Amino acid sequence: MFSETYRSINQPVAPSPALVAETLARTRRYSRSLPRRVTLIAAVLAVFLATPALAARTNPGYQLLYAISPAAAQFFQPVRMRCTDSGVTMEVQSVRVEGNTAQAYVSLTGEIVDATCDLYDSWDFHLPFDQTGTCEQVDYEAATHTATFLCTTQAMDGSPIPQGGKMTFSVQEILSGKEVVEDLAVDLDLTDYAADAAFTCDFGQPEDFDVYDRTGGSGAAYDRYGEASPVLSPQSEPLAVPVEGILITAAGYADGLFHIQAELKNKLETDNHCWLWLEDTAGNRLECLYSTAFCSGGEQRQDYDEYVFDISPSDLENYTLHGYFCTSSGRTAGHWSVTFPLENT
Amino acid sequence: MLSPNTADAVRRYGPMVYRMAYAQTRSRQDADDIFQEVFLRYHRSAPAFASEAHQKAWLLRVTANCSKSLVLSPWRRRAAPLEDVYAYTDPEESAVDAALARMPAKYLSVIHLFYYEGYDTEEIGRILGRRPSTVRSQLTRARQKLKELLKEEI
Repeated sequence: MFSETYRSINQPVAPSPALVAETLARTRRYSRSLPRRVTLIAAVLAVFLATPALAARTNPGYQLLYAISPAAAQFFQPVRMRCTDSGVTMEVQSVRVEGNTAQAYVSLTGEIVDATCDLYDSWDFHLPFDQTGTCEQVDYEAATHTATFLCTTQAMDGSPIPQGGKMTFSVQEILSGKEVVEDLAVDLDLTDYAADAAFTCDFGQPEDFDVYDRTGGSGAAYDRYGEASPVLSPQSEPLAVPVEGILITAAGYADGLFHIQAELKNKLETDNHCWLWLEDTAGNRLECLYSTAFCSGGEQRQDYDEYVFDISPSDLENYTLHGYFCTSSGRTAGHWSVTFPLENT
Repeated sequence: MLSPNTADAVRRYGPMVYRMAYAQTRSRQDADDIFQEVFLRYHRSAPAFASEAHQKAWLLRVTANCSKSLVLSPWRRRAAPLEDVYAYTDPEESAVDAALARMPAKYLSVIHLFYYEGYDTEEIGRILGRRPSTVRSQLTRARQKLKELLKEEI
């Protein structure tokens, strides 16, 4: 099991006694002027490396400065309130600073921008101090295809946001055309699949391992069952199509557990995903023991999620299949970056 | 005079911080640097914590940030010398270690917090400042990538 191996390889990893002693000695020697000296040295170094303004205007130069000293890098980074790439314009609308929190409203405008656009975990904040941050969409204007995001950052140590600093907000990918169905009853009679599934793909068999590749799993029992358990062989004709882009491709019993399989069309580009559960007539949910993900090999990659339930065949008639489904039309790659002063506007 | 809180934190959470740093950098020398940086920041800012869980989360968060900065640093050595990494005699451990060394850095913190520290995705989201759904998808992608790499290693 991966989790056991991971624990065992990390168990011996520990700081040496010499490192601990040296660290404690350094805290004794610490003086409050040290960070300023480091910043000053970094700034002077930046002057010798290149013209700071020039260095900060190129991405490698900026990254170099940021690695030396975030404060110096942000100081030299020019203010840029607007940026366009791949037909999408990013623009800073307003900034508010109060205590240890800074907030900025940043808009994205372009044909691909819609009410559901998702920054796909590609956004980043650069600030001259340790911070925690969040970014969430707060508004959408359909007439102009403009989505507004609220970027919030807080100083890690709770101290006030320093005066005169600058913040850089950047995004690399935008997912759009997203559709979410929170709870959909799938039109599938579970009793039709109360028998053992005719075909299963056994990851223990080398021939199946070449055809399908397990890509992960989740759930409390995944470590116990998941890695070794078989999955159903996907059927060429879907059993049901709950939403466009996600199909139910197999159902039935394997090793005494009830499996339901969903195919996620073009998952790598669309981030299509779902979560399936069973529900009785009173609305009580039966969650799966675990879920496992796998994909077909070869050029025509297809991704599947399989949900495994501990339910007897005779109980299936009391349940219906329900799911949460999320699909999108695709993602757009680019480099959007704005830098703005941390002061109220 | 050394703050008793810092000494106490080093004693109690030093191994946790060091493991997190090593998990992200795969280098003892880098982990040494991060370890010192984290506890110097701890000493400098002397933050007040509501609970031990809060204190642990703060240290893990700062460790993740320091590691991320170091990994992105253009000055960082791209190849670690043999004496800079832990070696494993067990073939399975060795294969997992080699696969982790080739994993994209962004997944390593999530893997470590989930598989070693035992946090769930909600807690990892709070520690790393990411949405739980983001953590879940990163964990899924990390497992997928790990699977591919382990196939290559085996």
